[in-house]
Amino acid sequence: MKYLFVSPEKVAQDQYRHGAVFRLAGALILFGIMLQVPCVFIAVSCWKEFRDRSTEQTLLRTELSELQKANIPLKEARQKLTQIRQWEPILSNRVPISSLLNAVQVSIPGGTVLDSISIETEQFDHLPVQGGMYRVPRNYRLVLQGLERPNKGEELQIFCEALQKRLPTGSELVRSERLEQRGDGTVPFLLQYSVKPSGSYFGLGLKKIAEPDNL
Amino acid sequence: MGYSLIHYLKNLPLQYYLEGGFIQIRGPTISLFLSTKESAALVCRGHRAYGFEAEIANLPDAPPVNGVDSDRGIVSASRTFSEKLLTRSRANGVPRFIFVPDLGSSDLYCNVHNVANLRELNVETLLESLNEDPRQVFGSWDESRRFRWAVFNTQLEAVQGVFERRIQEVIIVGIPADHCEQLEVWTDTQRGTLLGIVPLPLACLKWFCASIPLGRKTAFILLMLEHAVLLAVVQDQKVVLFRQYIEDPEFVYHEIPVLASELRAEEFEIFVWSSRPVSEDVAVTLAGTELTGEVLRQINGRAVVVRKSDGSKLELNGPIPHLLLWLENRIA
Repeated sequence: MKYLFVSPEKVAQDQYRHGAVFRLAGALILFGIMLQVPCVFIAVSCWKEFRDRSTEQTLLRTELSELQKANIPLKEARQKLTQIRQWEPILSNRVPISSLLNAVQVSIPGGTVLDSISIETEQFDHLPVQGGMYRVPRNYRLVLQGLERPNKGEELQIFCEALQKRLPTGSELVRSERLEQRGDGTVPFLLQYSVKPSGSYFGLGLKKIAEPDNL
Repeated sequence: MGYSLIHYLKNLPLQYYLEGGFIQIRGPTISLFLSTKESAALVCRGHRAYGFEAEIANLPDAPPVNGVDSDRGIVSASRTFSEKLLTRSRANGVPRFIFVPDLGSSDLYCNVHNVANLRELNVETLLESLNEDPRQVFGSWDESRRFRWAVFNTQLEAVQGVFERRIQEVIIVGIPADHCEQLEVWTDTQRGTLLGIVPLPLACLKWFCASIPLGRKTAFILLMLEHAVLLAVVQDQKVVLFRQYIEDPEFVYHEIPVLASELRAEEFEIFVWSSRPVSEDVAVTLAGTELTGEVLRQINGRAVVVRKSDGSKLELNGPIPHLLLWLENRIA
């Protein structure tokens, strides 16, 4: 007479609560759920990290695409800049002759007279530029010939030192000769310099342009 | 009932399990006799009585009685009816309930049917027909309420499957479904388990067949219920006849010789079972054995002993305590 006139739903509920098999099944289910908790936690953490990375990747892709778009108009400017940079060694190796002459002029002492100034280029490099090759001198030969007043033996030395200070870095005095004294007492001399184009010619007397033009 | 994994998962009593249901030991049993004029509760644990209380129907949060308006308003007590009852009986745990309602004549269908007269060939289809429409089985049925049905053999044992040839008769019992639902809902409010709803005549007859050996004699049992008198005839520990009478017991008593001749019962005995003592004027007219007091003690071998909180023992020999204890031992 057990469960007489009791609805099947109530009987099932009672069995689920008190039946040994169902209680064991319930314990196994709950144990399984408890085991799943760390797995679920790890899975959620991984998923969150993956989502964050995906978001970051998407942002980076967007940024890359924007940068690529911005890079397109700069391509022409970069090409022009490359062409200009090809001219850099050419321009830097060209010693401004007027400045060189100015350096000689401001260095020469009062007891010395110059007869001739000779400037020659030598040791050429061949640099490629758009449209062909360009010959660039690696050395300038400066030859100065003049007269020194009598009894002014130290002035030539002063002139040499003053000129040496103004010449570009790497320049050196190759030859310094005093010839036989003339009848009027003056002493002819000959100075030969090897001027190296260093790219910095401010010592010769050049001045910086205050506001350089933008490219 | 066919169990399935999906149904189990859908109805998983997770809260019960988390509250320690896995290791919950079997709780006490509360057997409740419910009648409109009389009610009682017997608290048992381990098939031993721990408490007996009469007139429980008037207590707050008491179980619903069939035929009595159960609308008593919302009871806002901190403890439920069963918790108070268990505390008084020094028992604890999840209560399990057995209800023994004394139903009115219109609220109980109980009859012996010849299998040959039934169209259905097995119990399942018979129950299906009864649940669909009892008129498919009985022919005349004017009750509009829904009933719950059960089928027994004549020894009041539940039967299943195809009717065997040796079973010539079955007993069909039905009680109103709404009353069963009321009791189920009440059980839920008590956070207990429902073990069964056994109508009083069924419990009495089952007890009678199991406890009183008759030999070749025929027994006529008069069950004096609240609203009706039931007459059952038992032969060879089998119920062969069952009738309900609205008339007084004397009328029923005078029916017995007629029935005895119809059943060709040469030797017969009359037994009277009543929840309350039979009044003297009725007792004078009835010649039979009243199943109460010393008779019950002798039949069951001992009285119903309830241990009180002060250590003393209370012996009960009334029909209700004996019936409830026997039923508890049988079901729980």
